[in-house]
Amino acid sequence: MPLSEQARAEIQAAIAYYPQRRTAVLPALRIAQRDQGFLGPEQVNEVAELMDLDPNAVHMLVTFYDMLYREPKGKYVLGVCKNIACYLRGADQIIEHLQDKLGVGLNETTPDGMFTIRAFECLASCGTAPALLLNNEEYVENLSIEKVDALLEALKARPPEAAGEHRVPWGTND
Amino acid sequence: MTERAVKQPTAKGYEKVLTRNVGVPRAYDIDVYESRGGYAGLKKALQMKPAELVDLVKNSGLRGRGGAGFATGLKWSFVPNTPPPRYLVVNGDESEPGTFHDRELLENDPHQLVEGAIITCYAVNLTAACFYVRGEFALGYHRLQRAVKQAYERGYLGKNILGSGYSLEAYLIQGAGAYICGEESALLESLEGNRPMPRSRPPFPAVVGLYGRPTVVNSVETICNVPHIVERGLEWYLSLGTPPRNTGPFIYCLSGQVNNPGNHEGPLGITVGELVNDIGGGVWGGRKMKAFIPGGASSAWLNGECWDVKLDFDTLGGMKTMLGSGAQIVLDDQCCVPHAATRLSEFYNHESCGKCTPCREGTRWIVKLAHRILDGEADSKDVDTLFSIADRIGFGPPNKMTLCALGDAATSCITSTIRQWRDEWEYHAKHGKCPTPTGKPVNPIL
Repeated sequence: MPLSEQARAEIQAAIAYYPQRRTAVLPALRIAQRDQGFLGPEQVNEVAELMDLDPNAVHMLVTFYDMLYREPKGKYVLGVCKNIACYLRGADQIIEHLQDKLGVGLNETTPDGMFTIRAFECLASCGTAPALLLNNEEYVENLSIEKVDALLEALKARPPEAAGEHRVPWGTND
Repeated sequence: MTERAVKQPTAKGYEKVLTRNVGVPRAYDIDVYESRGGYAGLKKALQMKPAELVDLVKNSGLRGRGGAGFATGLKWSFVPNTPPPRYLVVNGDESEPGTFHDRELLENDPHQLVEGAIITCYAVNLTAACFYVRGEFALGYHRLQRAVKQAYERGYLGKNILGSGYSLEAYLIQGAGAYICGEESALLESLEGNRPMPRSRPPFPAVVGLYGRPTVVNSVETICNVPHIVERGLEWYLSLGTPPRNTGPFIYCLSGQVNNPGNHEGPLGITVGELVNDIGGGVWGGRKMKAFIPGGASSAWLNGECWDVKLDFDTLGGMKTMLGSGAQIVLDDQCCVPHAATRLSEFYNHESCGKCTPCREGTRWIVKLAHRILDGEADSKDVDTLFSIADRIGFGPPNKMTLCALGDAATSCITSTIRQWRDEWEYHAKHGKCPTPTGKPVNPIL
């Protein structure tokens, strides 16, 4: 599916915002991913065209950065930190529990398309470990098995329009 | 999560500086920030000559809080006075495992950073400030974005700042998840839309930086020190820590198996005992400390008897480890050292950008071999091999095998643990299980 008009306008705004055009490529990719859910060849080509870059130059960014996806993910991506501070406070148990509960492995999506489990590197949440990052932007910290269960239930109950990366859990006034 | 609870005690008799606004309701708003004395440092700075400010920061002994501990004033003085544009790049790509002070500062006190950045730019006569915020910090980015907007509205940014004749533009950008972007030259590559791979130096960014222009790259916490140095003066700043080289307030990111993890601020140079026991409430579950990581995942580990070691740049540097980004991680006595070290090796293998062969291939072999040892499919000679691989990926002298410090960082968890806990590595190689009471690699108290 081609990028929405709004996403194209946001990318044009980013190009105009930075001192040099090329700086906007990373913001452009994030905008495109928010719009399309992932960055496949079609999306990469479109961003490359808007940025006036070779598609290869864009694709090699997509393969480098952890937060850029090459294929569609679940509606809720649960990125559990597995690095040392969380590991010492039970991250592996959290990851194991999520896998058991959802019946899928790491980097896999549940058949209903709701959840993808990922293991993240350090999220800078070490003082509140273990932690996970929901959809690349919402921290859920001080995790316990009970808290994970409650989170899954709460996410299942979230109305559909509240999903997606562009819905932040805080208001403009926060 | 929008108001992060503050339960942290601080060092005895210490008045918080950098985190004084953490926990204050809506301190991220300009009105609250100003009502607590914010932007006074900027107003004072604009009355001073730029060269005076550079000297002030030089004399303060402020050293970069991002990891390398390089003298900030000296870094500023390297910037040649060529025609504009000249840039400040604020490094907010905090990803060193164990480190979380910049996230706290961005989410709770973004104006402190904005104020510091404006003073920095004025002192070095820079024309634009670019804030690079780690991709995962959505809330921090949101708050910083609004802080910059508010600063423009009050005339702290833009043309002719507070009638001083000095003008400054600010830009914000979010990363997308790459540890290497915290390395200053890789960060510049990322900003230029390239794959973030470190550059060969010299030339250093001060001379050839962003878009080939003179550029100062400072981390978030470093810049947050600047308004306080200006406002409260040299004498006050030097009274914190050990002058001349280890001065100022410092945020200790305490994490791991302690009762009270979190961002604890104190003067530079408190001891491990003061941090872990007095402030951190001791090792959890009444257990003993087996190992202590003094400066983030990249630093060499200390054993559990290091209670009297002073946490400052030079003391730790003298012990062949480092203060790094200021992350202190505690491992209790029911932890398996080889497993924990391997977890860090996996991180470096994942985050190696792939530009330099010793790091790209070496980190991969470290992980493969470490796993063989963990599984008991190895012998004592393999522990030697592991050590020698790790010992050969070096950034600094004598090896100089990699372009950036990630090469060194990736190996210290292996070399320092084999030096001090060789018995555990050997046990694993032989038996394929952990030398812990339960036989499990880690025994968290859930």
